[in-house]
Amino acid sequence: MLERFTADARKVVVVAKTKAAERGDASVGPLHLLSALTTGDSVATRVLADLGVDTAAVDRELGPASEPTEAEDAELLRSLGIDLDEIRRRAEGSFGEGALQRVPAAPRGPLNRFARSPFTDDAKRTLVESLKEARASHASQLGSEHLLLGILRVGDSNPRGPLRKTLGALGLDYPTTRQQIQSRQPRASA
Amino acid sequence: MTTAPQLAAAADSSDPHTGLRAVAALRRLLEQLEALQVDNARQNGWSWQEIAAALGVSRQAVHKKHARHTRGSSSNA
Repeated sequence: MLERFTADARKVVVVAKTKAAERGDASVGPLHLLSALTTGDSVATRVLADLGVDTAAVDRELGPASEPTEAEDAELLRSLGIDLDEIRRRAEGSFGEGALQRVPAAPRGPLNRFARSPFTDDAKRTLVESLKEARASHASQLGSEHLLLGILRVGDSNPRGPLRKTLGALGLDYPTTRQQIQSRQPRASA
Repeated sequence: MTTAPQLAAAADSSDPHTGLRAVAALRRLLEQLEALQVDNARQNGWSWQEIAAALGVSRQAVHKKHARHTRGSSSNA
């Protein structure tokens, strides 16, 4: 299915996975995808910017990370008298750049060196809905804008659920977003 | 005479919140270093038994923890 994604859309999925892993979240959800959509320079990014949604806003909704960041850990270790930078320098001196990798909290899968976060049911539904959106707009590929609409569709499918609430808090709704996308992408068949 | 900053520092260092989180951070660093060293040992042809002995743990423990994701883990040697 990924071959039918635009380069932008593929990047969104990668960024979403990275974001989840960095935060120490167990799985990739629609909000990670939404956060990823605010990065880069895709159609969705620009539409979200138009609608006043940036990375900071989405990350606020995602909440604090499950795991402290590298910077926070360095600070904590400093309080013990441990210089993380020095340790990293020595490790990289012996083993090369990037030797000291963050070890994800999530359990490792059998095939991967580092844990690959699975997708939540809502994230999987997002991909399904995104595909429908792409088909409905007669697009030849699934783009970032379809991912964005997919997230909104999944939110709408459970109007009293947390995703819908979060999207509402961000000021996002399907009709307005779709309108913005169309205004940025005039098509022969809307 | 202790200054205010010194008192603040002393208060932080005995604060369980900071202390425990620092231990957790050290544990995360430990995991990174262990993964790095075990991987290096395997690349140098060490057996799981030899690695376990050096770490002071059982062969089963180190194999279970590291075997699935280190390079050179194809054999059970």
